[in-house]
Amino acid sequence: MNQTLLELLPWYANGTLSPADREFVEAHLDDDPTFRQQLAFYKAIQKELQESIPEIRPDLGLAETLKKINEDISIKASKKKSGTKLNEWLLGLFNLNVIPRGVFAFSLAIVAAQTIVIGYMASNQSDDFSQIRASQNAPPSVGPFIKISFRPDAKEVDIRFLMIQMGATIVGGPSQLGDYFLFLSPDRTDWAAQQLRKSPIVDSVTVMATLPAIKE
Amino acid sequence: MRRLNAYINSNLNIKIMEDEESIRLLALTAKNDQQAFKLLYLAHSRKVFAYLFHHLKNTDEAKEVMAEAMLDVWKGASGFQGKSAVHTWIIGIAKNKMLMRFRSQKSSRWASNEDVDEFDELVPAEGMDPVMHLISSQHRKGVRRCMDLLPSKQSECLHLMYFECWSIDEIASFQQVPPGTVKSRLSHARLNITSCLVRLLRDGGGPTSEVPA
Repeated sequence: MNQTLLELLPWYANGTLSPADREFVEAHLDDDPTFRQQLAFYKAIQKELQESIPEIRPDLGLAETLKKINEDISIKASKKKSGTKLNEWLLGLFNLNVIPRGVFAFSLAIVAAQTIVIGYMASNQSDDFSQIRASQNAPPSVGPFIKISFRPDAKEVDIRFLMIQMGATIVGGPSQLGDYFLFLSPDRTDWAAQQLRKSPIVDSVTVMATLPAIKE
Repeated sequence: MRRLNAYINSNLNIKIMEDEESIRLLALTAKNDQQAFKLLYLAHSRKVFAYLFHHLKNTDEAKEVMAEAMLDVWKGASGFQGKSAVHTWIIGIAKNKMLMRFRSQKSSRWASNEDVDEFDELVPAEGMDPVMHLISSQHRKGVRRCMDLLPSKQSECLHLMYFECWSIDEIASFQQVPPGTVKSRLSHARLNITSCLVRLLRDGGGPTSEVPA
C-alpha cells in the first residue's frame, strides 16, 4: 500500500495540499479501493464537524465587545481628565497662568529627596525595613529571564506552587498566549530552567536575555 | 478599505479574509481604529466561535469566551509580532482564554490523555464496516458521540483540520509540536473513531444507540 498517499489523504480532503501533492494523490487514488474508502471517511468526518457547529451571525457579541472597549476608553479618558483638573486647580490656587520655574524646581527637589529616602529604606538590611523591601515589585531590567508555558490541563494552583518552589519571581504574564516570564538570580537561571523542563505540567521553557515589550 | 467593506456588505456569511488584509486591520486596531476592529471581528468571529463551541459544547459559554478573547485582541493588537498568521494568533488567544476559565474552575474538561487509547479494540470486527455506516449518515448521533469522546488534542486536531482547514504546518505550530505528532494524533483519532463505531454497531447499535463510554 502506498504509504505516502495514505499520509497525504487527510490533507487532500481538507484542501491544503500543494498542487504537486494534489496531482500525486489524484493520479494514484484508483490504485486501491482502500484509498477511496479512507478519503470518504475523512470527507464524512469533515461534513459531520462542520454540521455540528451552529451557524452564527458574524456580529454575534460585537456590540457588547464595543461597549466594553468604549467603557475602557472612557475610564482612561476620565483618569487623564482628573490629572488635567489637578493641574488647573494648582494653577488657580496660586492665581497663575503657568507654574513658575522656582516652584517647579522646588517640587522636583522634594520628589528627589523622597526618592533618596525611600531608596535608602528599601536597600537597608535591618529588619525594620523588611516590609518596605517586600513591596519592591518592579521587574528587573537585566536578564536572563525564563519564558515558560504550561500544558493546557495544568491547574493554576500547581503552576503557582511550581514557580514558588523554584524561588522564581513572576515578572510578566500570563501573556495573551499563556506564557509567564520569570526572574531568578543569574547563577540559578539555567538550573531552574532544567528543573522546570522536567515538570509534567510544563509545556516549554526558554531562557531569554530580555523581556519582550510589555504592553499596557 | 472600500473594497473590503463592499465584500463584507455583500456577504454576511463571511469567509476568512486574506491574512494580509487582517494584518492591515490589526495594525489599524493597534492605533485604536474601531472601524478596523469591527471588520476584523466580523471576519474572524465565526471561526473563533466554532473553535470554542467545539470544545465547550455550549453556545452561551462560547459567546462569553469569544467576547473576552476579542477584547484581548483589541487591547493586544500592537503585540502581534507576525510570527504566526493572524487567524492562528486570534484562535490562540481564544484557546488561552478558554483554558484560563478551565483552570479557574478547576475543571478537567480539557483531557490530557492524548497518547492513551481509551478504546481497547482498534480493528473493526468482521462483517462490520463502520466507515460505510459513517458515510451513510445513519448513525450521526453515534458518530458525534464518538468524536466527543476523543482526547482533547486529537479532537482539536480534527477541528483545526476539517473546520478551519489549516495545513499540517499551521496545526503543528498552533499545538507547538512537530508535524509528525500532528500526523500521529490524526491517525489515533481515526482509529479511535473507527473503534468506537465498531463497538456501537456490535452492541446492537441502531441510529439512536448510545456510545459506550
